[in-house]
Amino acid sequence: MSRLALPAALAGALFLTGIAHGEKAAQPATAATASAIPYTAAQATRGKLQFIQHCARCHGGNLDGTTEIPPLRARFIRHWSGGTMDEVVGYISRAMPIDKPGSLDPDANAAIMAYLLQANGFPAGSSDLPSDPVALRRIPLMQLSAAGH
Amino acid sequence: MSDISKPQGGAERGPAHRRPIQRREMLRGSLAAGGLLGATACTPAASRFGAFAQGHYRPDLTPLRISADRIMEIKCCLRPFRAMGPRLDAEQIGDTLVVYNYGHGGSGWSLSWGSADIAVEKAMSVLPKEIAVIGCGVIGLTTAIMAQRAGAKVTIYTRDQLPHTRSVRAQGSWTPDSRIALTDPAGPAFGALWERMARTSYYNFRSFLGLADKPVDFGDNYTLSDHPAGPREAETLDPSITANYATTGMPHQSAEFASYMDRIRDITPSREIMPAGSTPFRQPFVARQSHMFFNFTTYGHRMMDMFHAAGGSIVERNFRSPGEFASLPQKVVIVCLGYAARDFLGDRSLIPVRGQTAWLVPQPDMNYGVYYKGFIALSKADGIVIQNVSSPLHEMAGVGDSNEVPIPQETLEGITRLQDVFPPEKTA
Repeated sequence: MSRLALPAALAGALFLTGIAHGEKAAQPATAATASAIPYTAAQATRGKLQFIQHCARCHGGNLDGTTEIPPLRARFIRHWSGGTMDEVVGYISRAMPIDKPGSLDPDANAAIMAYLLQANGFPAGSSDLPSDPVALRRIPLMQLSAAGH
Repeated sequence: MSDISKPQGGAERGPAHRRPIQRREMLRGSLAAGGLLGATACTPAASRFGAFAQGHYRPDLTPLRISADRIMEIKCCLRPFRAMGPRLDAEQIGDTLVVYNYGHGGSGWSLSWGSADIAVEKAMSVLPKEIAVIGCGVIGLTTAIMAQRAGAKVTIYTRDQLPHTRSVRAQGSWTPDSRIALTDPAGPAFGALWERMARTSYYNFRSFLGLADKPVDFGDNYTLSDHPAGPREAETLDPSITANYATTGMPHQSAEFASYMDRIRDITPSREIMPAGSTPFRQPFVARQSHMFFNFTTYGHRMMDMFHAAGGSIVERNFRSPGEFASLPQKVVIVCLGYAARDFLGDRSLIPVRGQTAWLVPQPDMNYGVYYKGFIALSKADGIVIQNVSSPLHEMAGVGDSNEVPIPQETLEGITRLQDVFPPEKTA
């Protein structure tokens, strides 16, 4: 089940075109949920360096993936939306990089996630994305609308 | 990923044991003669027919065009290997019966139907009207079709569909015991289970033979050598290597890997030593073995069409935890995650075994393969696949390696070696 979130300027002005999987109805999100994912531009920049070093050789410098390696744009956020940030950061931390899973430290994983948020159009804020799973569990991940990018 | 260099059952057999000439070879001979009724005694074809009558003839092979500029793609596979064989058990999670079907090592394509048969049998034990299948690689898709055949309405939940799954990184040959298990951890009972899976799969693959788009095909593999080959001997455990799976959770030598092909010798073409000068290859020592392989493109399309035609539906979904299975509307779920099960289910018994293939521009009329000095070239409808199997580690090659980034040097080395067999064409 995926729910969509819209930035404040667009909330209520656009129809929601969810990709619901059935169990729950798509729910409009408030500006607070869309902007509630904290990360900073500086953290994303650090994450980009980590991404280039550890992730880009599979996922591509443009996050486009390949035929068999998933892209990290668009559907990547869709696939993880509707849950909380600890799920996707936890996955990255445990399973990635594929050849050395779990080898990056928590700060690096959080920075990579910040870069992925930035690359997917999420607005930067004034505080870093935390690396602590408990803190991440309190942060919902909602997909931005296409118009929000 | 499979490895066709491994002899598929049976010991070396000399010319005296040559099998009867196959129907297709006879047909090709008759066509070369202009049709049986049109043959005359004085044509070149007729002289070839004479050689045919003496029990041997020169195979009509067009050279494969092996060069680096013809590479379409290099890709890596992670064979999802489990020492005890694939996971096929079932458990109840809340009100949902969850059946597992993953961990087929280098035999996923080959055992897909037989493994699906076992998983679906367990799933149908509670007489569901609807079944959910998780994953849409070759195991998931085959399992879904098998469940439809059993009368269930099937929904596949998957992040990716063929051809975007790891399944299509395989080589695509019928190699049903390629890194399928370790002999001791799998135990003696697994041999019978494996045989059931292999025979069920073989029977189902036969139903794809003869179709115009060749989703499944047969071809000849030629093993070429500059020196006479002795009989292949089974690998034996090296007593100087004391570590093994039981002590470390990882295999440490090739001889730990199980081999079951003797169980299906009756459906496995023999490996034949070809008489000197009876093949177009310049390498003097040649063995031949017919084998079955899968063309991913047409096979994938056929399978997807079959699934949809039987009313199946596919839902794109990325599960975050196994607990979500119980939230599905279907109360019977078959989990076909392949290597992804290692993280998703936390199954550390799943060991990656890396392999790499390169795909060259297809020569669709050529359906044969060669093995020379550790390198394979296999011409299929979906491309000429190049594979390096020259590692002295044999079955241990790639064990524990989950690097999915291609190493082009491996491929270029293979192309150089195979150009000893197929010298580059001279052009103006």
